[in-house]
Amino acid sequence: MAYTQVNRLAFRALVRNQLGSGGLSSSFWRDDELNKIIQESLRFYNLLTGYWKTRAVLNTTAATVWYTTPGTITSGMRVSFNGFPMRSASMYSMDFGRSGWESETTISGGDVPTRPKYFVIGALNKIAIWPADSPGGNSLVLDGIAVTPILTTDNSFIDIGQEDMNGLLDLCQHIAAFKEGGKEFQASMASLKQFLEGAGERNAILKRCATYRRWLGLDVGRHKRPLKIAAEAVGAR
Amino acid sequence: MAWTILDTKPTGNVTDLELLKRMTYALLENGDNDATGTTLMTQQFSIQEMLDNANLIQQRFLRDCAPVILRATQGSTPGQNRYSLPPDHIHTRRMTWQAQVAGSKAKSLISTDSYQLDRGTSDWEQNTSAQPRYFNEGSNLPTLEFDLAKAPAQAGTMGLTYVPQPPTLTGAGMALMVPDEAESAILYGVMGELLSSEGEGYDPERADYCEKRYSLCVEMVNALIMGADALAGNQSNG
Repeated sequence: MAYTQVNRLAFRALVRNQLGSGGLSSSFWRDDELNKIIQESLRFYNLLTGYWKTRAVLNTTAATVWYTTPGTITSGMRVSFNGFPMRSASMYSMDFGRSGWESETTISGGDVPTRPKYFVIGALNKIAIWPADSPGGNSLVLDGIAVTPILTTDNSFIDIGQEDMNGLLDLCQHIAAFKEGGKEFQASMASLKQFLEGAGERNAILKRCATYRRWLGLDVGRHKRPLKIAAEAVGAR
Repeated sequence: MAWTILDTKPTGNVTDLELLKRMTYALLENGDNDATGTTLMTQQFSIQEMLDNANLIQQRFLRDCAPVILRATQGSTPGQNRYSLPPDHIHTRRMTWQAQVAGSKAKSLISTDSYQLDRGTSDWEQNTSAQPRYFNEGSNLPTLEFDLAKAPAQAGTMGLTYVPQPPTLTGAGMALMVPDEAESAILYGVMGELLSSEGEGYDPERADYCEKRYSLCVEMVNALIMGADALAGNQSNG
């Protein structure tokens, strides 16, 4: 479905509908509170699914290995050097598969490539390239998960598809029920599960999370299955 | 000799004041008004208690998944094993050593402990080597110290990649050091601590829920840094 733009005012009205508070601003949930719940839900959704993406361009500097990820990107997913895609590598594989890699540049010679071929995600704020670009002044393009849009005013818009709004409204309803505690909060767990199922469809990696699987009860059947080993006993079977 | 820090500490957009307001609402402490982040309706919790826990949880989160790192360098002295870590060090992500001789390469050191060194390389404290291969941050060492093994025979430079301690949150609108997307980890981590502490606010069910929300964020940030493999064994990237 095509993306739509929703502003905070409209989003908040939808959340109020979900909460059954009839659009009253002075009800149990205050406007400021719902604004914060909406912002939290957007950030949580982006963490689970990497929904918002962006591109940033860095200029390489001479013989530099490590680069700071621009503040607009939460996590890099793809990097290219002057239009040539680079392959990802882990810090471990570089350290123990290519000892001394940080000291190698594009003019090192031997088996070292003449343009950067690999990128390494050191953390969310740092990436490294191998080999380092000796002359510098080239282009390093980062495609990655964008920092979640911040809705600062009621007129601030976010780009989001209608199909994702339902899941986000479920999440907002669940987060809003937290303060009620007790049975109301327990009842809202169904909304959380619906949201998580939708997020899992967008990002299969999420389905491998132990916490996610526990919440959705995906491993319950496995735990109930009897072990295949025979009961322990002394001596040969 | 002191470490030269090569990077500045990153900051996100989420502030401590925003967290305080969010907790005020979630714990029904705002009364009939908008939350201020400076006062609470009851005495079940206090703003200082929230801030103290926010500082602890932010550090715990940084230790659990190392979402941000800094790099630092320091010269090593020939024949010297033991060195200090930076005062704001939480967790070592990586250590390298490079001889100062032209043409030498920075090589990653293997993390070990003194038990392995004592049994595998029993002369590690007596002798030197051209290139140290290990660094020891084992529990037998004083706080914020580490050993190179064996001590380098020549002058060189140590390279440290580490998770730094974040600035102390005071409630004055200071930005957190974690990415915006990890807001829920800190928020629910703190509320989990508040709701599991002794007192009228004790609520084990919601505290358990908060702990799960925290764990999910840790798993997902690990996945962002290390990819899906981080989840296979459910290990931290630290």
